[in-house]
Amino acid sequence: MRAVSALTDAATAEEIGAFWLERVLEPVSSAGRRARDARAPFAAGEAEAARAAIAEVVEAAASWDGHQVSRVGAALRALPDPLEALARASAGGTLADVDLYEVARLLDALEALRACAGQRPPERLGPASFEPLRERLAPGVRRGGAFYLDDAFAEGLAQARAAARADAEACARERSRLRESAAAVLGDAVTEEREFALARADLPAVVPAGVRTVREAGGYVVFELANDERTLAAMRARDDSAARVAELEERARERLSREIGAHAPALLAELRRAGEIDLLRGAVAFAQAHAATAPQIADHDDLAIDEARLLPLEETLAAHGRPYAPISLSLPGQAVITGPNMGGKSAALRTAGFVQLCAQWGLPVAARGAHLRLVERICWLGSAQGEERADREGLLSSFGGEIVRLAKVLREPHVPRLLLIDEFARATSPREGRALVVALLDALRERGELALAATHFHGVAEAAGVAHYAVIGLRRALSARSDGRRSLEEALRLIGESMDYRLAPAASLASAEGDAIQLARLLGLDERVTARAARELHES
Amino acid sequence: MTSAVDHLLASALAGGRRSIAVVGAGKDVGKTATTAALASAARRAGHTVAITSVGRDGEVHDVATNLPKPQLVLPAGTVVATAAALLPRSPASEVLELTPYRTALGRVVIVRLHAPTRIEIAGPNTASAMLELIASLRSFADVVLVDGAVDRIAATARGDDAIIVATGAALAPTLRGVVERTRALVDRLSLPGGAPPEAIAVDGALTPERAAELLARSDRARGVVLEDPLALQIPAQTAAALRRAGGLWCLRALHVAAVTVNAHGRERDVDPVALAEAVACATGLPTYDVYRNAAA
Repeated sequence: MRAVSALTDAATAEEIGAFWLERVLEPVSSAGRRARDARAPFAAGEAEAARAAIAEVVEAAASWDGHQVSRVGAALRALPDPLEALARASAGGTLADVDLYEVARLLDALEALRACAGQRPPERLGPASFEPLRERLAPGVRRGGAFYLDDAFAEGLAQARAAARADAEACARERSRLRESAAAVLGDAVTEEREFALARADLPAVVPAGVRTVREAGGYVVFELANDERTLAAMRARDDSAARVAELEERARERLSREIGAHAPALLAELRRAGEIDLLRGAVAFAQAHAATAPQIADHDDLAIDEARLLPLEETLAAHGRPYAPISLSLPGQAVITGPNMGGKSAALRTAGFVQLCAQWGLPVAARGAHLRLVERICWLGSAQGEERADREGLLSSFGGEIVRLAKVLREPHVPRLLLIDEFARATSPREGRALVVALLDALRERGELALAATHFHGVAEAAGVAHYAVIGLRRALSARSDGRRSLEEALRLIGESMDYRLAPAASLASAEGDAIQLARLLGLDERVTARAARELHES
Repeated sequence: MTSAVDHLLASALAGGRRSIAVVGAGKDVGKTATTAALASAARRAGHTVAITSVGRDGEVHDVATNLPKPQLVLPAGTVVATAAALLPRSPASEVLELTPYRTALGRVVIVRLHAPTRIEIAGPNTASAMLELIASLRSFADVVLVDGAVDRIAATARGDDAIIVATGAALAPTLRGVVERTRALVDRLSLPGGAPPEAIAVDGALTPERAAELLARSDRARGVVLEDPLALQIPAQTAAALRRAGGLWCLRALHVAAVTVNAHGRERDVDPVALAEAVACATGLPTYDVYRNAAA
């Protein structure tokens, strides 16, 4: 999956854990990355296809053990990606030895994938066998997967190479003869490999016939060996036999390229399948690691999640040794979440978005159960994203930025979508802010939008006629343990231990008033300030 | 018969070293000829040789000047790491590994030659890729030869590599100029390790401005330690002043084993014997002329 897509923009992706999910599902092969890039989230109306995709992952997660997932991953990592070579062979081109090496390695890797995937992958992904082509290239495969254009690939190649070696040695002998002859007069400086220099003072009266002057300087002369007729004949023989070898080697490459070209469409299809297996491997590893379950997907139902987990947050809390409380809620169209600061209202929105995100990409969800409909877009609206402000280089206030983004979202053509509204209008006057939130929810209800809004404003849900959930919290426990100075880490631990992050219908809960002051005290705000605030709250 | 080039190879491999980096003090100073001579000497000594280059080398004509360049003709059995596009079609070579390192000419491939082959070499340009490539080449060969520009080689070399500096008449208009520039380069590359703990650590390049600040400090007697020799970017006189003040060291010291000279320049020649002797005297290093197959 891709974090940013038609389903989620960058701001939403950041808030609901899409970048985390993209990282977790990162394919290990080039073929997998291509398959990932070609894949789109399921859209509204594709419930059946999404259900099938999720069922495939759940089934594979149940039948593959961890060892098998690792082996498949290792086989995929070793998968070369000779797309260009296959395309060239397919078009009748002649491959180079490096291409042949890659194709041979591809065939070996596909065989390894076949061996470790066995009959376990879904039938549509069952790897095909290319044994005849693999056997054809086998003479060239050396220890460690190296490849050499073996004598066996062309008739007469072995003899031609032997002749070329003999002719090259004969030529070298002739050059050695020249060198030895010259060295007898000129000494150790003489070499058959390159030019050599001699100081004028060391030059004999007569320079031997076997060398010729390349250039002269004041103090020395640069020579090279001069080839005589015998040597030139040996060189001609060497060059002729090298040309014969080149011709036969090219003929072997042409023949192998034709055979590979004939298999190229099937090999390219197999690479695509391997890419799909890579995506399945990632999804299976994800499902197994997080005990993910298949959500129920319907065309007309709303969102309900049971003990859902926001995995990026769960991972972060675990890293700090803190527990994570799963979230349950039912969203019959529109709902409001209220509760204390740091009580997990925004996390509840994110969790709903994360569950929806997974299902849209054909993944099981990290929840005991979930019931949802597919949407075209998931939109995060609220305080945490600052896209509009950033775009306008600070010309808009945070409230202004929120309004611009909301107006844009509401102007978009009406498509099924999930709106996650986090503390909308919190930066304006409370009275007008509340009025705006009520009006917004009212409008969303009338439009039939799926929307979940977190807010501190009182009575919003009731005024807009939508469902109301509240974070349960544990205010008494927090109050009893909030005295004294503590480090921030200690305060966060205390809050974590004292807060009940679960959601419940708001009507069943007592008022959460006073939580903010207690949290402020626990987080180190001056006692005189918090005491004065408590008195003010009580008197008002 | 033991030739001067055999001695050059032996001095580079002394102490069990397995990698030799040939750095050119400038263009047309005989770097390719030195590399080819070392490859031949290693083969004569029974070593399996691997060759690569930081950047491009062994081309028929200089890509910058279009003038003829010495050819690198390597014997059968040599392992070569070069860009796939530079690999000759014939004679076929054994493809050992297609590396992930890219050059302007495509991915770098490691091959073993099955016949004497005329070849251009272009290895990766980054230090990290070159370090990994050298490690990979060591699994295929006894001796790894790397050539390239001095700064790039110095960035990849380690103390367990031997560095051979190739210098020549093309470096400066006069013999004295050639010798001075060669000595400055060798001095720079030979910055010692083993700094005392109290030495003042300098991050990044030691520029003349920073050197002046250090020399003005009251605690300059503590000495100065740099990350590596490449960080030394000050005139020789300033470096000498820092050495006198307290000492000058680096954390990643290199081992310069020898110098080779080329008396022939494109515009002028110098006396080969005088050049070799002057360079040997100035650097204190074994100095060889691979064209004369002679030591200074």
